[in-house]
Amino acid sequence: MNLDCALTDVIRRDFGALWHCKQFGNTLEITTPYFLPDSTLLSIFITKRDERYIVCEGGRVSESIELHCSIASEDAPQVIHEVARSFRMHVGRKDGRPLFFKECSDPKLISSVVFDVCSFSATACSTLAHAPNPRIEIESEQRFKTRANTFLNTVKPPHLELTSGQIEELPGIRFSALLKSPSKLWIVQYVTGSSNSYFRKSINDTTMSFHCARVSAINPLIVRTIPFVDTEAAGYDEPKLRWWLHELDKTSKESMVLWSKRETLASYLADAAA
Amino acid sequence: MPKKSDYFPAVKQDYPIFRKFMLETKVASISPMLLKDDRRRPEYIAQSPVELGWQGFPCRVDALHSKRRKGKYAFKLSAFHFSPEPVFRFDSHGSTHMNEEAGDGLPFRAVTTPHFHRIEPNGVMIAYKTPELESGDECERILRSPQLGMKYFCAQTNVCAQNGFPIQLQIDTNELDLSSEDPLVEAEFPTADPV
Repeated sequence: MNLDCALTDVIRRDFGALWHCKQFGNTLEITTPYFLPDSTLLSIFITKRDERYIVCEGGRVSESIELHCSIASEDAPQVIHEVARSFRMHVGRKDGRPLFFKECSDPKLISSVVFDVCSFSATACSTLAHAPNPRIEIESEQRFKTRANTFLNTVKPPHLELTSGQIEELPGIRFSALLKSPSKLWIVQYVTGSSNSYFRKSINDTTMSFHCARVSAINPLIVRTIPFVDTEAAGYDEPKLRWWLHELDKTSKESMVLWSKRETLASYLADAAA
Repeated sequence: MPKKSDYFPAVKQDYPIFRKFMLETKVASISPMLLKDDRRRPEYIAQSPVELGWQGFPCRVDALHSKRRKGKYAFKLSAFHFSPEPVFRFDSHGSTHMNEEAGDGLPFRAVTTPHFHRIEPNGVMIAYKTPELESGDECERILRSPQLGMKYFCAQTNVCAQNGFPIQLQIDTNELDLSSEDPLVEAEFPTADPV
């Protein structure tokens, strides 16, 4: 077959075959060629009220919002309303849920309205499907925290008190673990992340926290500031993070401990001989 | 919204066992299945455990009927050894499924409802129609009768009630009559300015 623009006739014909229509009372349900993240094709609905031709997505977008909110975050409605604004969508209601639509009174403009509603709906559903999911990050952090806490409890010298949280002199900074004797302090900060950017954020927060600790009134008490690095995290990519980890090691005065070499941590705490 | 996964790696890995599972006669312990209002969901739902005599192999059939849309119903067969998600489905109404290219060209990838979903040897779930689900009188009857749809679902999945006949369904028809065939009949479309 020669390659020329007659090919678009074939493409147009095949794409055209993806459109289907069914009538339900005063409403048409039309399958469109717009592909959604769950492997279905977007359906739009056209109904007529007096002289208004109304084209809507039938509640598909609000279903996606509800599903996203149940598993990820609560800010989905706001994101979608911003997308709706940029497409100049109107908002109606059905069963107490938002219904996004556009309308016209001139039948010649229906296909243009359909184009806008399809473009909006596909964009909105894809945005939700690919939005970052903070819940995954929280679960990932919690998993490492549990393992690291358990490990610390097994290797810490018995006379050291193990706590976590804030230090009075450093309000606003939460430390993963604090090991104390009456006159000495070891600070351990867990470094983890379910993605490269979350991991980098964790490194940067730790670098800053340790810097703050060193310039504060508690500095004379500090024996070590120990970053405890989760080498099994999904976001741990040593070549990509090398520069940040190097800086973190410098800030912590060469006290960085990798989970994969966690026996080092025990030796850092051993210099807590009373 | 996460992508509803079409991919079942455990089925691909153990396909001979999965195929045997699908061909084996499976008995639903509850028939008739009584569809009840689940206030957390937009459907009436009933479930029945399914037995095929395989040790440690829990299976289940779900029957659902929409509260919001007249006539819309679905059946699902789950085999939890392979996946928490159903491994076979029937949808009477709803979105068209877009299969991956199988060599027949773009128009054939789109499968409208009513359709079944099954898992192929490569572990991918596809939608398909049997002859009675292509247009025609029998298709119209299936769309109007969940019991008839269940008969075909049972035939595709080799599931039956303890008496050997298709699973029976009980639905409170008074409640279902409140919904309208027109999915937008109760929708409000104000004439205010855009968002």
